[in-house]
Amino acid sequence: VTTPVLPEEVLDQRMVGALRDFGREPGVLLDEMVDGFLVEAPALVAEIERAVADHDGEAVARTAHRLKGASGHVGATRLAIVAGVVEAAGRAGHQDAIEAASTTVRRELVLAIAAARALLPPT
Amino acid sequence: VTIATVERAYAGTALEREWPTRVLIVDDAASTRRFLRGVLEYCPQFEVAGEADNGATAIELTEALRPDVVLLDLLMPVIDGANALGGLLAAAPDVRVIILSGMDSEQAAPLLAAGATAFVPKGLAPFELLQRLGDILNIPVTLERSTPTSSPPDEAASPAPPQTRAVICDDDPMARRLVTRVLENCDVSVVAETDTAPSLLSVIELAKPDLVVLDLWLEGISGTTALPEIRKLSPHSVILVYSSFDEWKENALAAGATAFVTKPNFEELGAAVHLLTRAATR
Repeated sequence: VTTPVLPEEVLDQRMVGALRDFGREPGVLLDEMVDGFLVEAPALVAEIERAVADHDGEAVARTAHRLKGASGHVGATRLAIVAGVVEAAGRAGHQDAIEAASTTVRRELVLAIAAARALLPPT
Repeated sequence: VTIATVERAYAGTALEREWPTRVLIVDDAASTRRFLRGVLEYCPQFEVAGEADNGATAIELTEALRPDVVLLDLLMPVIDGANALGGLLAAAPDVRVIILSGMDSEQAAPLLAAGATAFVPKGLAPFELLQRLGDILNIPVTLERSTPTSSPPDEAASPAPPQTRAVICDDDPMARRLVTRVLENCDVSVVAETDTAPSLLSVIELAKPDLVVLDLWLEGISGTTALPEIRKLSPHSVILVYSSFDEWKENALAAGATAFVTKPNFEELGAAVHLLTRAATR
């Protein structure tokens, strides 16, 4: 398991822009993806943490893969990258690496959630 | 001096060509031919001269149509690609034969020595394929338009026919939502969304969709494992794999997928859907 190099941007602005500009009703897809991410990502990170506590590497890998996908859809590239690291560690069954990477995932989740919330129209 | 000869002279420079390069598509899989036709017709520098589903027909058409380029699959009935190469070059000595195959590139080495121009692996995304062909032929390719995802509203004047019906299989709800939006934007009707391979197979049997958008990483039976069964149940469907596992591309294509787009790239997905559905309705 290698330490990844993370981009500076929490959210890939090119991806965010493409989501925002998509289709015949600009903004709709971005809002949908952000809404989905705000629900899915925290739940998946919590699931990863439970699997880490249970020393269940397979479940860690499976859930981290889903987190990688959910993050990728919304351009949360940093979170997607560290989720990929957790996935690889889980698959390899390296508990120390799993625990270290899942801590990083929690930190990146907080950043990504804040950045994603900022994209939503004010309520 | 034939037009083809002049074209080749132009092809050796970076000059803008005034007429498209005529391509003969040779592949026994109808879905692959549709895909290639769609991709080529997206680019004004190419024109599809014809299609053949085996090496013998390819030789006949090459003699009759005098294409500039033959895109040649290797594994085909009657006469396979390797054995057709000599006949193609004899039929039209100036034709450039590009091997387009899911087989290992090393297997193409003897064919390159025997006169093939280049080897291109199957499974490239549409723009990647066009760019590769452009590089090989020294043609500066341009696209008819940027991507369907960024089309202005008046593009709705020429949408893909609404009868294109799709089924989506992905265990990620956000991916299903995203793919649905992309398909709707291409005027494709999503008749069902599923999250497992068994449910997908049931739906395909009932719905007989034109298009299947398939994730490979699924709980239980993987998409790769299900692909041959999907192909068997619905032999004429376009199967577009949308997966983050780029390394599974070759296996997916060998198992019956028509094309592969790597997640997360919904713009490329939209472009592929647009091309595939447009080609399928011709």
